[in-house]
Amino acid sequence: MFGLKGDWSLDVKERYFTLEDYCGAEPRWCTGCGDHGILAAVHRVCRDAQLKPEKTVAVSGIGCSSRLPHYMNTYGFHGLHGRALPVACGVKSRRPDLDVWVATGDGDCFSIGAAHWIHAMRYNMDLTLLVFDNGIYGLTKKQTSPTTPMDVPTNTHPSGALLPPLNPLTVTLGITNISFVAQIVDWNAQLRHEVIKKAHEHKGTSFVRIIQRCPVYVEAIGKALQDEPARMQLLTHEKGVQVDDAVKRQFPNHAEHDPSDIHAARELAENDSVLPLGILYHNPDAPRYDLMSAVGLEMTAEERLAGLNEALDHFAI
Amino acid sequence: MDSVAETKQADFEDGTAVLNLLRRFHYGEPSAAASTSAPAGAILPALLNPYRDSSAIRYQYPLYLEPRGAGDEAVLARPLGEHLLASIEGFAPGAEQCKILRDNLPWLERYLRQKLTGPDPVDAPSLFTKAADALQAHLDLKESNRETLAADLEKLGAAVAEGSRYLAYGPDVPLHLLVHAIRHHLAPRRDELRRDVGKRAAALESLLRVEKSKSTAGNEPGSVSSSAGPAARHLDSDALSGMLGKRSHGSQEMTPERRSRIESALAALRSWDDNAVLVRVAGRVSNPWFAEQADVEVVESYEACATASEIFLEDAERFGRLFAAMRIADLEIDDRYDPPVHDSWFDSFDWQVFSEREMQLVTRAIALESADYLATDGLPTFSHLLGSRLPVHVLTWVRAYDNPAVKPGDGPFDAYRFELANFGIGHRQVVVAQTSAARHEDLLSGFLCAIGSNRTSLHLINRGTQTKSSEPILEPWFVASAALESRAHPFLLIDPDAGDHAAKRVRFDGNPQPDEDWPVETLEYRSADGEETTMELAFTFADYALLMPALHEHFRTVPAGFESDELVTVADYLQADAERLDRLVPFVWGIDEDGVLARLVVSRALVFACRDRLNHWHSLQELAGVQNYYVEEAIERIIEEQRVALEAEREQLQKEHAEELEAVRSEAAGQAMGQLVDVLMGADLSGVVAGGGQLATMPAARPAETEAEPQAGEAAAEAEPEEAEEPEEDLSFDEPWLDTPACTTCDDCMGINKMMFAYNDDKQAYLVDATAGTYEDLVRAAEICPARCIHPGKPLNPNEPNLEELEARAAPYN
Repeated sequence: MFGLKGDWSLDVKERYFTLEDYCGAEPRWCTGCGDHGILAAVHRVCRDAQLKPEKTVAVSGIGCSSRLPHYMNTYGFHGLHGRALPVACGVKSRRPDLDVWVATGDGDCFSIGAAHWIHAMRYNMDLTLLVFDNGIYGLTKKQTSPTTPMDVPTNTHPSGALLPPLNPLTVTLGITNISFVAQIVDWNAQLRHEVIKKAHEHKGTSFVRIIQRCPVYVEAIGKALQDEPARMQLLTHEKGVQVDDAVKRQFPNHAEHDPSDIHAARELAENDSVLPLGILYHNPDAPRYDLMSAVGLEMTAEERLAGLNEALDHFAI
Repeated sequence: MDSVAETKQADFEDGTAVLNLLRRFHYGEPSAAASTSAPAGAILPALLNPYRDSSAIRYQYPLYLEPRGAGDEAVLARPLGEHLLASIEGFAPGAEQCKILRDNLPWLERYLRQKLTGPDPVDAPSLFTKAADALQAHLDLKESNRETLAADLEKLGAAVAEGSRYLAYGPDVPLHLLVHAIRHHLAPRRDELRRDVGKRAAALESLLRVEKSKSTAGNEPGSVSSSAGPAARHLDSDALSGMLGKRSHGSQEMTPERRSRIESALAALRSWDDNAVLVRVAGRVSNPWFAEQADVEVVESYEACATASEIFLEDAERFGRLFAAMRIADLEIDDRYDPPVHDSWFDSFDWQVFSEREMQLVTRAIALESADYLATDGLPTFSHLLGSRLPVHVLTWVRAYDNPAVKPGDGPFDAYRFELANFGIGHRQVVVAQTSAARHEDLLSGFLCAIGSNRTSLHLINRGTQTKSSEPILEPWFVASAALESRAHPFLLIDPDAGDHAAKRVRFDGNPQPDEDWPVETLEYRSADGEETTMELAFTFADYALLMPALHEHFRTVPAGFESDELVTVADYLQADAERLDRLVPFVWGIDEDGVLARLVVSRALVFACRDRLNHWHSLQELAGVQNYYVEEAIERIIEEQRVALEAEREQLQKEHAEELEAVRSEAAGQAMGQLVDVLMGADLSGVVAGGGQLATMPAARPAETEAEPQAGEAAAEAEPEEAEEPEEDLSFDEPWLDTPACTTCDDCMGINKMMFAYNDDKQAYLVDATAGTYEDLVRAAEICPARCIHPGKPLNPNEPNLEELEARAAPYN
């Protein structure tokens, strides 16, 4: 139009951030741990979105995964075991202008933090929730977690877990008012990046379960999956994530799945035979509690007092 | 779009009164004009609203002007942003490379644009260096990124060629680009001319030297000794002189006329004053830059057309003397000069007999004149120049909203518009280019066509001038673009050298949506309910007129929220049936500085002007072969003729088919009856059962077989082995490599050898140096890599121990 080309609007960056600007302390995860890759993906998404470090917060609970805030050069909150989500909801509720990331693990989120998980998902505040699921309590050296497979011996169950593992996807997809549910594996860089990017772009709570290798305590879990890509199923759809053919070749088992179809998402989640990878569910229109809780934040103390007095006057005798 | 919103519909107690008031204004009633409000100064046509703030908009300017001698003539200038991006693609193809620089290219571009505030070209390499330093200072990166950016900026700086210049949008852009194009075209030709003159002069001098050697003086001992040079000491010059004197009786000396002619030509060649001026501009040039250029001469004149003609004739006479001398030199060097034939030819040698190549060498004359003067008092001189065949370039600025022939004190719509382009076309063999400073490619295309043609050329250029206002709300580049978009100043290039027919001579490039009456674009806005929505809007001449504060008297704002079916857009109004027109009130959409949409009723005078511009546009379309009425009529006629012919053929075929069918039926019935009789006569009737079961089986004895045959054939065909798909070959590489995009950033390889592996900008590993460690390092890294993206290849060091075992371990990863 008017002789302008498609790129007519100049995206001038008054401040520019490189990956270095998001890198905090030197990560102390074990060599070969899948967490390194997840951290790199988070740094890259922050860099690509040019998030202001001072407007970004990483919140975590307890566990290997929860060391993530230390490795981010942003604000951070290394919280109590299982309490990453209440803290993150609090931050978002009072400071809706901040970009909030939550790092938690299978033990932290699905066990001690399970109640918060349920309610935070229903609140649907604008959070990017990354669950590092290695199927074990790693930081405390190999105890059974809610997602430990039955045949994996641990220090608490030397002959293997006694109960079938929890399926976090079926639980999450059963919660009211969820808006974004995805699952990835840590060892595919492009799929990992694209899903975390979409999760961050989504306005609402983005739940991403990341199946993550722990080469020290449960190497067999990740290795078995890596050796048998047919055990995974890549979800493809125009509304989902778009990946190169190289990724499609790595996961030869594909399924066309519309992420707006929650019933199909639940069916995929319930299927024990394959692990779906990609976006299972996405609803950009689900109500967000952070938008409701932020009403009136801009009011001064005097204005609040006046408002309170006015409201109370209705009850005056 | 966020800032653009619709107002909510209001209640009007008497809607009819509002509409009548607007209608009365439309018809030009002064009292209605007084009781309605003209739009405020900051209102813009709705489609132009996104471009109020041009600081963060990438449009065609500033331009990067290629240095002389670089690139081809067709690309003398490129938009700055395009040049920077193309240069980066040259040394770092793909969006993932050079990321920091790419991400900050808009900043660099904005910086350069902000620094380019003057109207004249600026040395590009020095300004780019400043911009690169400023970007480094602005980003203040940490060490490694700083070095990366510095290296990339250096590569980008190398692509900004020595001698190149940046040119911002300004009033003198057309003259700058014309001078730029002439320099590119003429300078190499002049260099060649200089060499040709020198060669011919040397050849003529050689002729004269030979002639001198034939003379008595040439045979004298001193002359002989001098001719022999250093070898003279070995010769007896007296004896040689005596011998030459005796033996030279056979040599024929030049006639005095020929000697005189050669000396005269040589003098002309030697006295050729190459003053290096390439362009002479006649007119009122207020910008001193042009006069300061060594190859440009400005001749102040109030009669530019006449002065430019004189300038050309003056230069042509000077060049004529040179070209005559060169031609005489060619004839004399080959000794082909024939006085009875050539003397009279060279006596009357002037510019009209210049060859095309010679004409291209003459200094270019430009007449810079205002359109108003050309269309009024200067018309006779202007017409005389257009008909003269003198290769003068007439350059004039056209105000697209105005009539150049308007009398002082009259409005732009008080008389029919004088179309200067049509006036130029009326002179039949003139190059006519109606273009805009806002489109440098079309502008240069017109200039190059004229420069190469040796014809008189007329360049009608719009620069985006607005009527006076306290503060322009839109950059002139956008105003000029709007003139093109609204058909107020359509592009046109007439090239008489291109052929005999309008189809070949007329170029219509650059006009947006040339098949349509008006270009139609999508406006995005938010409705009164807050919903994001769109509407398709035509950009008409009335929309363009809204950009001119002096024409705001032709608009009246419709009260917010007032609705009526009789309010229609100007584009719809112009297409409405004649009987409806009296009831309709035309309007255009505008957006004020608060981002609120408003409708503006348009005066009848302006609507007439719209219809007039549309009519002119249709004429140009037909001239250019777009929406040609005659062609469309012919197509319709041929389609109808074809339809009638096909219909007749179909009827005939149906008739023949029916007749044939009837004949076949009769024949088949006869045959069936015959067969039936034969069967009945010869059959054993003892086996006949009710229903004729036996009869039914007889004729059907073969079909199964006949059907089976092709099936068998098909089966056989299927059984034939298809061309076997070649199994995908397992690719193997001898060189070690790392598939970086697949890297998961697990840190494993870093733990093995940090000299061998490193992370890129996206923190994904790449192979820095395979020789920075052992083959064993590579194999171990490949084995541990969870993404299996490390491929060790073959060992680089044949002396490394345990190679056999290591190669076996590496094999699954290659």
